[in-house]
Amino acid sequence: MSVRWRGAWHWLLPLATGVLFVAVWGAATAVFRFPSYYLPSPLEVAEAAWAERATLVRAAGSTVSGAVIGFLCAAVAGGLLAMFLASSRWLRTAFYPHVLIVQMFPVIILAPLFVLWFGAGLHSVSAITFVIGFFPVVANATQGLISTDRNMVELFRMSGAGFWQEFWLLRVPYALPYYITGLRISASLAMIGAISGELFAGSAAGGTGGLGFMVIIYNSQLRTAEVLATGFTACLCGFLFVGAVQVVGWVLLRKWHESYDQTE
Amino acid sequence: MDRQVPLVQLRGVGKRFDAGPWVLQGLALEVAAGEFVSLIGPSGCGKSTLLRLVAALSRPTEGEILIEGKAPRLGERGTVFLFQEPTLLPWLTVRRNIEIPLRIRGVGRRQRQALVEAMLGTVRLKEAAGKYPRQLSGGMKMRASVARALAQAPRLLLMDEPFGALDEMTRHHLNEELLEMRERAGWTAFFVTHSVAEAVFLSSRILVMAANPGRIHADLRVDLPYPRTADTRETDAYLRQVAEVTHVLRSVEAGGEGGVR
Repeated sequence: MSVRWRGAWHWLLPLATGVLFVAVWGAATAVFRFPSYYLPSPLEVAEAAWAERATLVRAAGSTVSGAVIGFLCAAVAGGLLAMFLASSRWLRTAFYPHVLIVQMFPVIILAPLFVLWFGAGLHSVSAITFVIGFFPVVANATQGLISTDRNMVELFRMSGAGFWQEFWLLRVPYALPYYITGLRISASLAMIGAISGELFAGSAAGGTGGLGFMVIIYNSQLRTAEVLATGFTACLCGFLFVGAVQVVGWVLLRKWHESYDQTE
Repeated sequence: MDRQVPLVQLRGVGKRFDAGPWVLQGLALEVAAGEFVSLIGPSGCGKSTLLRLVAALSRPTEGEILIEGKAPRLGERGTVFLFQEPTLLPWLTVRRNIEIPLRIRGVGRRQRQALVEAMLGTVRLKEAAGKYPRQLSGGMKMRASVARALAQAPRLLLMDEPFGALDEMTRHHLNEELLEMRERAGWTAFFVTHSVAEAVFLSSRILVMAANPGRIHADLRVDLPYPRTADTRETDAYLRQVAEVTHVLRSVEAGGEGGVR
């Protein structure tokens, strides 16, 4: 029984604090009578979300598309670049600093260039998401590939393993948990990347713009309740996105990796 | 014992890393096929380094090592290393872990499966064959590691303190099982240990090493007949040998000069 209760508390406690937070917010708007363009009440935000539901769903679909494309490109390209970098110390010395430069280069400066090269819309948004999500994948996967247990490497060499056998049968599976960690970080950045991308490079061409694009429109009309509703929609999509990556990690690692031990 | 061609020969072997002090110096040794040689000595006397040289995981700075008259090459069939830790690949089940060196060597699937099944029976891990390493106890992990080593049908088995982290009873059991397996397969062994009792129980020969630089201080024969069982540990002969080796080891640690050969 105590275990079941502990399980329930895991849900009940954050739910209770969430309700409390919304109540305080609601009370504050009632007591201070803020104009709704300044700070709308929770109810106004919920009403705005319901009224704009069709637009928000379409916008979310557009943003999630950009996020998924950018994320998948980051996952594949990041993994491949990590393999390249991990294959030799010289390659790492020669190229890793440039990977850092790409990471440090302000995306705000890249965004107009992407629009120039790829045009406003999905291509540019995906490219921006890719740039933001790329580095955590490369950094983690490279680290995983080069930190293979020394004894395991020697076990393979003593068994007469060639370079590719060592690479595919040992280094890659050893690096998998590191790679998944990189993907998790990248996934959590993907929605932020896509929305920031849309702020600079969004386009309503071919339908509704994404969530970032809608924020610009709602904000220009002082529809603050809709801006917040858009924010919560993005939040929800982010959770779903990261959740999906967590599921992938769980499927791949649950049987053997310590992070999935049953004990708390 | 027939000693026509020694299996392992060391001639004036020395090892230093870069410009550091000599870790090993002036090692001369001949080991015949079928011997069980334990290396014992204070920490830092180069026991593990010596094992790694024989495994060709490292090269001697001076002198030469010969296995069946030839310089050893890394990855050669016949020489198998058993590490201090079980070194199981966590993403593979016990069965697949035992199989992996055979897979690397390109042994056919059928033959691989037959060898693995036989080894699982030998080390009594049939029930755990489908489990992952994290689901096993320390002793079971080490058993799987032993099974993986023996499935490769070694001629020379190099063991670097493989049972050091286990509790005494588990270690006793594994020692007995190791000798049983050796009765059947007849490999030659180098065994690094810190335990005099373990060295005496297992070995036909014990090399007591001294440090700074690492060298062979004494080369002792163990006059206990094989097969040895749990009862062997309670015999006077065994206890006397333990006392004798302990005495030599103490003289090394006290900085005694001159070896007993």
